Amino acid sequence: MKRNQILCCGLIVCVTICSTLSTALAQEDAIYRIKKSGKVSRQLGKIESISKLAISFSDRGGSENVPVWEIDKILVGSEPAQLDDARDSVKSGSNDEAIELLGQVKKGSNPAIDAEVDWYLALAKANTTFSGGSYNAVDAGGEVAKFLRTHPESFHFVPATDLLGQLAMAGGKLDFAVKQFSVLTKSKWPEYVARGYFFSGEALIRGKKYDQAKAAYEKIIGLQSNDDITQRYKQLAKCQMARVTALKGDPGAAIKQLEAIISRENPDNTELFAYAYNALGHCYLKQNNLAEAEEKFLFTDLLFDTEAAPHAEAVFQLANIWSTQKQTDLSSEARKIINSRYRNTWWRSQLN
Amino acid sequence: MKCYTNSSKRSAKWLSIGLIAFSLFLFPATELSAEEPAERFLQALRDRGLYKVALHYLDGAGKTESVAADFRERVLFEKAQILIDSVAKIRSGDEISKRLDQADKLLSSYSKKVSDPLRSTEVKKIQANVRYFRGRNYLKQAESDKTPEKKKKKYFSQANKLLGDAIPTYREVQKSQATQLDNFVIDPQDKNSDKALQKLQASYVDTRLKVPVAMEKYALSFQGKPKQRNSKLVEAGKEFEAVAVKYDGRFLQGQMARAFAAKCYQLAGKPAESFKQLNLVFDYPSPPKPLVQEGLVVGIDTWPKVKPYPYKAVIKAAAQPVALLSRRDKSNPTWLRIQLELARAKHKESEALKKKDPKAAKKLQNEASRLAREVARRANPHSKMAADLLKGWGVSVTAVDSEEAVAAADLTPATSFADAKQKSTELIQPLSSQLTDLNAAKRGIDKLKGDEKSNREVEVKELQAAVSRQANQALGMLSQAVRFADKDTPRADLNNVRYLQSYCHFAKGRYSNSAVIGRFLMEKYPTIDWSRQASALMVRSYERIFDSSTGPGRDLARDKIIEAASAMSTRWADSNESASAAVAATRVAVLDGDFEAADRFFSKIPANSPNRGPLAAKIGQEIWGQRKTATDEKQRMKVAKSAKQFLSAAIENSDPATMNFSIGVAALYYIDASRDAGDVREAVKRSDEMLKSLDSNKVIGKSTKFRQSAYNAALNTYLAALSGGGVKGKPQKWIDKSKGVIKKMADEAAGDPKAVANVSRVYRKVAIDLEDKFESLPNLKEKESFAVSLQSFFSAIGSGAKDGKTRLWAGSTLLSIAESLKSAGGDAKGKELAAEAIGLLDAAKEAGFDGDEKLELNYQQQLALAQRSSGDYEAAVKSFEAILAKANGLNLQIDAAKTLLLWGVEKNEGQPLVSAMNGRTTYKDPKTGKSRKRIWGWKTLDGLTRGNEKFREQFRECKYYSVLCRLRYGEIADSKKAIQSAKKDLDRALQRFDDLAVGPWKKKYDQLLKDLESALN
Repeated sequence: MKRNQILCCGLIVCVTICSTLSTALAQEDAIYRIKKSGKVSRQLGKIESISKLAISFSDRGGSENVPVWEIDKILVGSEPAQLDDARDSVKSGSNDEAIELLGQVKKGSNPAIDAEVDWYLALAKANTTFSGGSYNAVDAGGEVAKFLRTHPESFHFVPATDLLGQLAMAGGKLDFAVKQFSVLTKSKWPEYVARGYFFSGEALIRGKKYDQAKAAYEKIIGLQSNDDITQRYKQLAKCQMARVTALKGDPGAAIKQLEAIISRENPDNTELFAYAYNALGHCYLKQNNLAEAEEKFLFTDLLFDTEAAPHAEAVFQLANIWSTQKQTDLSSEARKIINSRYRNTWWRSQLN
Repeated sequence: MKCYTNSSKRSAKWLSIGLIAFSLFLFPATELSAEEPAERFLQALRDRGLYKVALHYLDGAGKTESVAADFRERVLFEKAQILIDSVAKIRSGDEISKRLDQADKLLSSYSKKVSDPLRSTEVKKIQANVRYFRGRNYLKQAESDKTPEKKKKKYFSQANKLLGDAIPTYREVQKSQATQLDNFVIDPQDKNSDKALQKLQASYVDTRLKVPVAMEKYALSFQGKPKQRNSKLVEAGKEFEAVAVKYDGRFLQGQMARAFAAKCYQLAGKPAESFKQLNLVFDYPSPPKPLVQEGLVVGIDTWPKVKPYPYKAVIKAAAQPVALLSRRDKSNPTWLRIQLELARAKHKESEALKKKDPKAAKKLQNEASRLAREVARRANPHSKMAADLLKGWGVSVTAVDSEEAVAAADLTPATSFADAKQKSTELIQPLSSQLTDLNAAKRGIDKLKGDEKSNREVEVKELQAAVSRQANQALGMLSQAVRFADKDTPRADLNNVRYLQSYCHFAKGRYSNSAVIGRFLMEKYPTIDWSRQASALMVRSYERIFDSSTGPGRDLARDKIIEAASAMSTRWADSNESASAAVAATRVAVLDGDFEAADRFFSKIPANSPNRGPLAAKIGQEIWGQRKTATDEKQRMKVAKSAKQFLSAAIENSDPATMNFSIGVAALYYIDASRDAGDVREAVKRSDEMLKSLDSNKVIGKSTKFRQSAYNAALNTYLAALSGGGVKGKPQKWIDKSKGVIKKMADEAAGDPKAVANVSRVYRKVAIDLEDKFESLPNLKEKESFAVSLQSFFSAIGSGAKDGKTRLWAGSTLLSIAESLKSAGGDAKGKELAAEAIGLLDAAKEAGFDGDEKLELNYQQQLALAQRSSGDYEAAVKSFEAILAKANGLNLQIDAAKTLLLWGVEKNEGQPLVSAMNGRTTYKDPKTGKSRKRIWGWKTLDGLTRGNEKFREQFRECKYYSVLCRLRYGEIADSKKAIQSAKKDLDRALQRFDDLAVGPWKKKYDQLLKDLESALN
């Protein structure tokens, strides 16, 4: 009996200590840092200040500025549980659920928490737009623009600007999109610098400003950095450069460049192959060779449909080709995909 | 089951490759430039299949000093090799035995002369191979249903002896080679030393593998002695097992030995042992297709005898191969039997699961029913067994497959890549049979009419919808699989998913989609499993696009097929897929007239491909059609040779007595192409065969059109032979053959106006050909000799043909020949022929011309000409006047004037010549009331034709005869003035008309001028 009593008392003390400790921990902020290996580790401490490109964070080891590209997410000590649940929901693609969770959070207690709520809300709505959900590009763009106005120093500023550019492009506001992407090119966040040029180029192609598009892609190719992300955009830029070459009147040369990429690169790089085949499709369209163009866009449609942006374009081009070829069944099937899966994209607005 | 026939073929292939390989190993090609290139020459003869010549050459080579000494030493060996090689194309078992026996003897003699132990062993091995072949050949003959019972016993006994001899020889070789390997020392100074060792090792392994193959056949030769047979089979099985243990980790043959062991045990009535070996076969990781096939073939005879029935093992072995059967596979009874066994196994498993998991059991039963139903519905030897099974399960043969498939399929979202792949496979399984039904419904729909057609159209629509539904469901699941795939997913599995996607698109008729996937796999993952199959599907897809498109789409599809076939032949040279692609490429190249490409791809189609013959026929015919567009003789000859080459491939090994219509047509084209390519001898040989087969072959002989075409081909060939063509035989021989053909044609045409008209056309053609041939003869002697043959030919036509038109043709041609002969100096024979022609013309008149005025007029003209040729000029002139009273014409007037000229010249009379010049018989034209002459004469004719370009040829003739007429008159009347006037007229004309003395007329005018000058001097 005595022994049992002692054990019981010990257990109570232990639970009390743990509970106190966990309350103390819960009050701490956390920063989830992306290591070089790609793994994410949690660091507890205090968020001292937040800027567009870094968060000043202190823990027992001292204080440091963590650059934004090393941050997966932050946790504000006093934030409600729904906020982090919402973050997870966005990550797993359950955007509607995230919007619902974020609606339950009361704002006003902590500006950092408010910024997080506003960002994830804007992000979830934008994602819904891109996945063909109920928010159109203008609504979602409004939400992102509001976030940028309200939280001009948020560490989400650069991704939010990118998002705004993407939504503007989807909504057909190409000049505005280019403006947003040019902000990215000056952001000093290597990935977004490359992205900025890349999507500027895309918006400029859509606006038929081929020389400017070419200049944007040349910027990417000229970037000094050689990390994986920059490499990725450099490859993509080469495809797009070839596409511009074709659109400017030399599809033959472009075909050679693209075929070299396709034969050289690993097809597991689905994004690159999707862009490469789309670019090839454009080359053949330029040559008025619809049969070959059809085949190239079909590559993207059938084999790289996990790459939403180029896939949407491929389906759009196929719808047009089939319509020209009077293959109405196929054309309407493709249009159906644009109207459902890609209804909030630029391609939807371009359908006749 | 035919199971051991398959393996026999495999073993035979194995051994023949061995034979060739060892001979190369034994005697590497070495030649001294100063000596006769015996080796190269022999190889060339061998390559072209000229074995007789090769043997003849070897007879001499052994005694010729100019041949290298080492080659002379091995002449016996080379002879044996030639004999062995030559049996590949021989069908007669007796002939094969004879040649192999001879080869065996030669090898025995040769082996006594060989002192080098390595060579000696290899020669011994070839001897063993020859004995094995001979034994196997006797065994095959003994087992053939066609062999009479009496002979069977003899063949079994011979097989037993030879195979019994082969086994110890193989063992002896094996032992020697083992010792040679042990003693082999690599010479570091000799760069070939290492290679020699490798070759010896390979040869040793090969010998080791051959021992059980021979043992198995030896066991089977114990006919009527089951105890001995089974005991020997068990021994062979053990030997196969030993080989498998030693080599299954290194060679496919090692693994195959396991399946052969199972077969031996199964044949020996030991299903348990066989089953044990089969389990090991299917336990090999990723067993190759031939091994799986062999295992399944043995399995279907083994599994039903194993107790308890091993349904799990059957499903494990057969589920995947059956799921992936192609349409062609499903026309093979063996595969259907395997499918039925799988159905039985699934049923058994369903029964076992009934209590434990009723849902799964139902699903399995549905699958079993679907599989069995497909076998029951197709025409095959196992359909009754399938129907009985279904009856036993209480299932209808006619239930709808798609319902079952949906019931069996699991459409719930997948939880992993493997799950999605499994579910996709289940969804795809019914597609194959649905497609078969769809294609069956589509077949012949165009020929249907009315309600039958509309009902069929509805059926096709429904079946197509069912296929699309099923394919869409599968595609949805496959798409999930793709999304589950990550970097750890084996590439082969992902490729499999891609292949299945391609298949589903193909089933839906979305050929572009199917092709794109196949192309991607071929280009980016050529070394990964399933890329080859996907590529084959790609080619089929492009073929469908090609067949259904026009314009750029069609051109693009053709280019893609050709591109794919080229790539596939490089990547997977000996695969079935590559062969199918070559077939497709050849076909599209032919259809688009690209014969160079067709030729290139055709050479890649394996000799045993069932498509080779029909394709060769098609290509040959297409190329033959191109000869019309040939611009010159050289090109025409090239086209003919090329067509001949393909047509020869189409009809090779075909028996005229049994060939089908398509091959028959190719054979006809082959006759034409051979003849045109200058090989008249071959054309004659084939024509003779074809004519014989018309009566014996019921398929081709039934068609009147085919018979007529065959007669035409033969006739043209005999006429070509008549003109030389490098064939032997007197003209009479070919004329007699032609007469025979024409008689057959005329007999068969009787009563059919169209056929009669055709025969008439043929007569006309023959007449022209013969006339041409006659005209081309260089001298009077040959012409007179040929004229005798022609006389008999046309007389036969006159008596054979029943219509006036044909008789008229025969008569007029003979007449033309008579005139030609006379002008060449053969007056007597010419007159004889003319008299014969008159007889034919009379016969024509007797037969009548059915009121055809033109024919009547023609007859009269020919008769007049015939009278002229026979020397009865007066009658001839009267006949002409009678004709001219009814119908006038330039050519008639020329003939009449010419008759008067000939009259004067022949009879040496001046008056006819005056009439020839100035005309004859004055009459009053009833229309104008003016006086005219019935025969105009050369003077009028000259004036009428000189100013009209249209009559330039007639002018040349008229001017010539007008001058000649005056010359002859001057000579008869001794009037220099007339001759001078004639010369002056000619000089003026030649000066004025520079196109007068041209072509064949130049020689005549030159001679005329000389005659005039000589007459004036």
